[in-house]
Amino acid sequence: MDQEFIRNFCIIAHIDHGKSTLADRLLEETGTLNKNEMMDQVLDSMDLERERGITIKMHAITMEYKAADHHNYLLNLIDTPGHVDFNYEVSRSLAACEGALLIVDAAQGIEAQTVTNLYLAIESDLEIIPVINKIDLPSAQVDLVKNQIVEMIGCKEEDILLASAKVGIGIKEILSAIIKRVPPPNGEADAPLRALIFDSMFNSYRGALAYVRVFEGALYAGQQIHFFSTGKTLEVQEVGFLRLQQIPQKILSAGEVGYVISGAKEVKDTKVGDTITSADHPAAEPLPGYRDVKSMVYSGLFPSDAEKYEDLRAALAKLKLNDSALFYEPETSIALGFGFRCGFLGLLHMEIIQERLEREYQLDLVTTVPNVEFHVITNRGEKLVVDNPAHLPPVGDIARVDEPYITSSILTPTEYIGNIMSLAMERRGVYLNTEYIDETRANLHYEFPLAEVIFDFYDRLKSLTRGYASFDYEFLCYREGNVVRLDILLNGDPIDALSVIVHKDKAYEWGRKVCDKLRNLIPRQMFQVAIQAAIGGKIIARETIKPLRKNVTAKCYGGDISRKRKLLEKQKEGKKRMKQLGKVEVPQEAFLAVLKV
Amino acid sequence: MNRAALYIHFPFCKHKCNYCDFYSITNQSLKLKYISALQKEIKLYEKNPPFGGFSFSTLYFGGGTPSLLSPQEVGKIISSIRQAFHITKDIEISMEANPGTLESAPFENYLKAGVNRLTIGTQSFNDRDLRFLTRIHSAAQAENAILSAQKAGFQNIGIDLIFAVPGQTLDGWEQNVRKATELKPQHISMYSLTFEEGTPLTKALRLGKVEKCSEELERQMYLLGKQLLQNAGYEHYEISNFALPGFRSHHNQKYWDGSPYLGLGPSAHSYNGQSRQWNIADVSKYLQYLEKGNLPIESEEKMSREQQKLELLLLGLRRVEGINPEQWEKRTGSDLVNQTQKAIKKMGGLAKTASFSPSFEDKLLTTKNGNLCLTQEGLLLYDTICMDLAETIA
Repeated sequence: MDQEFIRNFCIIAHIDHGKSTLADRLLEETGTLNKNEMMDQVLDSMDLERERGITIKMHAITMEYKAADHHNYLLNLIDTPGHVDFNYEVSRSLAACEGALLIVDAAQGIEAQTVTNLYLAIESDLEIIPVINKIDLPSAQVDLVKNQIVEMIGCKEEDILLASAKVGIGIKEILSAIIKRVPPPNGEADAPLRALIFDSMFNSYRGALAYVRVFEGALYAGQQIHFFSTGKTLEVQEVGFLRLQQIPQKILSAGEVGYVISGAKEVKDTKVGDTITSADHPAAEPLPGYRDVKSMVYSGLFPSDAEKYEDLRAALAKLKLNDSALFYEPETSIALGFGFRCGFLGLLHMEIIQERLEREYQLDLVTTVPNVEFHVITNRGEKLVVDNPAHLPPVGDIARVDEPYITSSILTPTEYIGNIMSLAMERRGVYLNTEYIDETRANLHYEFPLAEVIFDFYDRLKSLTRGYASFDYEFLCYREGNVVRLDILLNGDPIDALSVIVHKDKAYEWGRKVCDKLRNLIPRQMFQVAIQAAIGGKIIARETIKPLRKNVTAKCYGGDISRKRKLLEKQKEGKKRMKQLGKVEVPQEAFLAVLKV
Repeated sequence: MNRAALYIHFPFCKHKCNYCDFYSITNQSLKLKYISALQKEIKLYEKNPPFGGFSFSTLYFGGGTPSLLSPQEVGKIISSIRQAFHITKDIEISMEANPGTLESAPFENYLKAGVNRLTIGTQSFNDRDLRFLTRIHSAAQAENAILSAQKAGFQNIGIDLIFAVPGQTLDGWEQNVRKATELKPQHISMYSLTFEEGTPLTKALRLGKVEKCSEELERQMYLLGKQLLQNAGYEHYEISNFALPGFRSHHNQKYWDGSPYLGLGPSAHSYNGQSRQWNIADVSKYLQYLEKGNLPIESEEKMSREQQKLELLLLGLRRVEGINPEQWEKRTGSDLVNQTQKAIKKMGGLAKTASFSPSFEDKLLTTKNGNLCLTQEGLLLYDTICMDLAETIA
């Protein structure tokens, strides 16, 4: 197709601002999907995405649209996720586009995440088309939101489109703005091939599928292609457009978006951000790639049934195929046996991976307390990277521990500034400044130790601001932190899976709460159980579980036997879910409970 | 021929005690219909294998309050049974009796009707305990019941005692046990009060109107009661049961050694060696089934080998003599000693306090005369140990 008739765009929006609904309306309006195929929020293809109302994985789809000028256009929508954890996915889709729809909820206004992504788009020279959505809501404040947008991107008020994706207002206008305002791609069709991989998918029948944007040259079946970063050369088996299904095409030419199947067996062979070129006529330089994804939060995942270890490994490998941000390596815990240390982009990412493992792979997991990655400088001057409390060297060997800090912005109605400031103080926040977006909304800038925001920070923020505040962060740097390792001991034996690295000032409270929780969760045993929290050799909290002194069914005659046996069978099942830690049997709930201290 | 046990459930009471969860009703208007239905049920089993082919060496009238049956009625039921089943010559025929229902019927008539063992539900010789338990009799009546049964010629009398009654003291319990030993019944069952689901007592507990006695006190009461009974010449043969030499309950021992048993009457359970079945716990429905000539079975369960093994384990460990490894192997095809050792290794908790070897006296589990059994401490923690062993053995 002539590049003049191609438009590549993405949608930037906060969770709940109606992005998926709008995307659905666009698909409907362009006839990309017929009525039978139409399902609410087509692009959110995972159940989890649908349930949580978020987009985790990016999707792309091609629409054909006959515009007012009677020309047929190819509109490539590259979807972006809206949550702070998935920032890197956003930059991937931005690089493949020339324009972006900025969707803002008419009732809620601009949110922190939207601002971040908007600036990313502006930096990438994308044409921004602002759209105020949900204008049909009774609580819509269209003028106020218009002002916010004008302030933010310096556009003219009349450039802002008004829409309600839910009831179908403004959809045609949006399509026509995309055609009029988003510049067509302008790569040279005759130049050597350069195609950017912006996503990849694993299909068990066809291997790794690369989703690409062709910038220059053309891709076609039978072509020998070369991957810049992996150095591999493979033959193209098929190319095509992305609709709900893949639609094979003879050729993908400059400006077009589609998929490539090349016999790559694993997703790591089709590395996101890599450039594909022709093996026969290679381009000299790759396209600018992406920054590498970095895990921010780590946690141990263990199968509750030790025999499921191999299943867990296989499941992680499968998830990893489509999620390059997931990191894992084998970990052994004395308490929990064999499992994996996993790295995640953030807490949401972690929760989603855990839920997918449990739902899609029917695995029952025990997870350890999430932590950030610490940099430890030993007395001998070595630098150790520690993502697992168990690997923190003894206190005497440590010269210094550095912990990661983030810089964050919290967008909030002004009336909640006080609440947010006390929360920030509680979480060791370093106040930078406040920007006022208008009289009612402010953007607070803070630096935080990352460790302080991975525990229920977002939930607390939401509840302190009745759900109005939004939060966004990015990694800043490592700084010296006054942190210690807190161990939990059962009858004197440290339980590795319960160790945490915490700020010294918070260690006492943490220890006390964990001991108290465990006291209530560990059943009484035939001997006394001492639960202790310790820093180094120093015990800072203790609870005791008294031993069982008498536990015997008084009567067992003809009519009681079945009942007693069934009870034992139930207890036997329950025992399978218990972990034997030294002498003490601990239910798995105990490990989950410390996640909620 | 397999020697089995026969149980008759009599589902009527004058009054329902607050702690009891056995099936019974206080309206006795259906008593006569019940007796004829019971006789029909007996007839239905006559030709019905496998029970029809068993030889029964024990018969037990439980309830409910079977002493609400007249001696004539008891006699009628026994003769129906004699007609339908093969009965051993030396059959033990027990009947439960409530001290509050006995004034009307002379004991010797029960003896004449064929009952040769009486178990009297004394529960306590302390009026305060009896009131708490909402028993219909007094301590004096309990004592009198034993004395008149003895006078009537019963040479095998059992009584029940309940301890850990809220408000009971260790002293009170000691007096209770001493009183029991003075009266010299041949058999004494000593139960700790159990809070069963659905009873008024458990409801009162939930509402905070009743407070359980402490675990520590309960333990002391058990140990004291056991000591006193043993000092008085009673042999401890099951967790809650004591008997003078030669007077163990043959009927109950059949449950604990895994013998088959046939239970008749509403709610009664039966076990034929492979599967278990139980009758409907409802007198009216029981009558309806039998009117139509059907067995009043509510449900049955086929037991897997594993389940049978689990039952043998949980029953066997209740016996002070424990489980005989050869018999275990014959019944289950598995090696008890080996498996127990494995289990103990796995049970971190026990492993530290007990090690199992054929000649070693341990803290919780031990061997006596080649049998695997629980020690005194082990008996007190029977439920916990069963759970631990079940994980590996069955």
